[in-house]
Amino acid sequence: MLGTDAFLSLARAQAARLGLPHLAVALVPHPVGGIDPAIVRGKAETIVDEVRAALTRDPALRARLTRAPGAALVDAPDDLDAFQTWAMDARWSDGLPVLPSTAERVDRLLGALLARRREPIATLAPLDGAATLEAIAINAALAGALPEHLPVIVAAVRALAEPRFNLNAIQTTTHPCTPLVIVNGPITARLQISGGHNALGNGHRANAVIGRAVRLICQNVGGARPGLEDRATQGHPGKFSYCLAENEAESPWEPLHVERGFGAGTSCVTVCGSGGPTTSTTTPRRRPRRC
Amino acid sequence: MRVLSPLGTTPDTVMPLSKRRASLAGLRIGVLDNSKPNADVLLGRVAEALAAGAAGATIRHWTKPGSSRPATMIDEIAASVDVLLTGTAD
Repeated sequence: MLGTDAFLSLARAQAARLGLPHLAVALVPHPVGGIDPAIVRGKAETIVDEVRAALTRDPALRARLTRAPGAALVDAPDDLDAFQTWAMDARWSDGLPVLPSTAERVDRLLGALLARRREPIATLAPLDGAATLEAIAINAALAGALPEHLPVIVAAVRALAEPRFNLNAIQTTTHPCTPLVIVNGPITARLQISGGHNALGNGHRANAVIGRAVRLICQNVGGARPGLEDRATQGHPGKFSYCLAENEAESPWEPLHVERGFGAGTSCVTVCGSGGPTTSTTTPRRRPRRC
Repeated sequence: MRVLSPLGTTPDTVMPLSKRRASLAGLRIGVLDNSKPNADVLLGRVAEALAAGAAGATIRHWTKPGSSRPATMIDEIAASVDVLLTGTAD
């Protein structure tokens, strides 16, 4: 496999995901795109011998990437401020303060699902991490989610893993996109997921913690660490949390979940790889004007 | 305090790679362009250089339908070439 040095971490992750941690990766200096093809050909010359060697010598088996199991209990600082630094160093955090994922808090989140904690919900790209109910709840605990938020988060995880969603591309692209979680149906009122004022902004706990839990699951379970497997060039603020309800009552359109074949009274979660929000607005005129 | 790790567990299977050849002579080289700008240039030049030093080597090209989309022609490629050069990411 050929690539540029800037993408080595992603190349290794992709090879490991395919069960090929020993696959030869030949690297040229970044970039390849956007430069004179003559320069690219010059870069190619520098790796010909390396590629030839990779094709004629049996590769040594590299050590498999190993990651701590989701259920591992680890020692962390008691002090909450020290815990933030520790969680950041462990790359568990998104940069904002996280709440400790103690067994007590995770068990409380799982509630009635506790006996099913090892149940796999999905496998998430790019590292094919196993999103068990427990792994989902641990990340939800870090994000500050409540037990009632868990079903929405679990539904979002199922949706992320749908092959047609192409999570691998969303997680590893240089584009800033991230999964936007759109919630429809009666659960939005019950959980106070906002589709109204500032729905994508601050001030709504359910929006904030559900979206944040989904992001932390993408990062920690899927294995998309910023700058390593997550290659987003600049990202966008929705990568901290990106969740809202559709304002069904005031929308002139059919609700999204109805459009997609579900009953109006069914609660649904839709995920959509989305860039940053853009406002589309019209300023009312005194008199309507024919276009 | 003790906290639960949020990291996902990953499968630990390791697939064997094909047995390597002592020589590249007669090698059927495949090139799979991942659709990123200039990937065809980089991959094509490496393939040409390999073929130039290997008597009877041939080169065949494929292009993915899009850089973020899977290579749907992977079975055809596997049946047609001995080695495949491809690129990842940019």
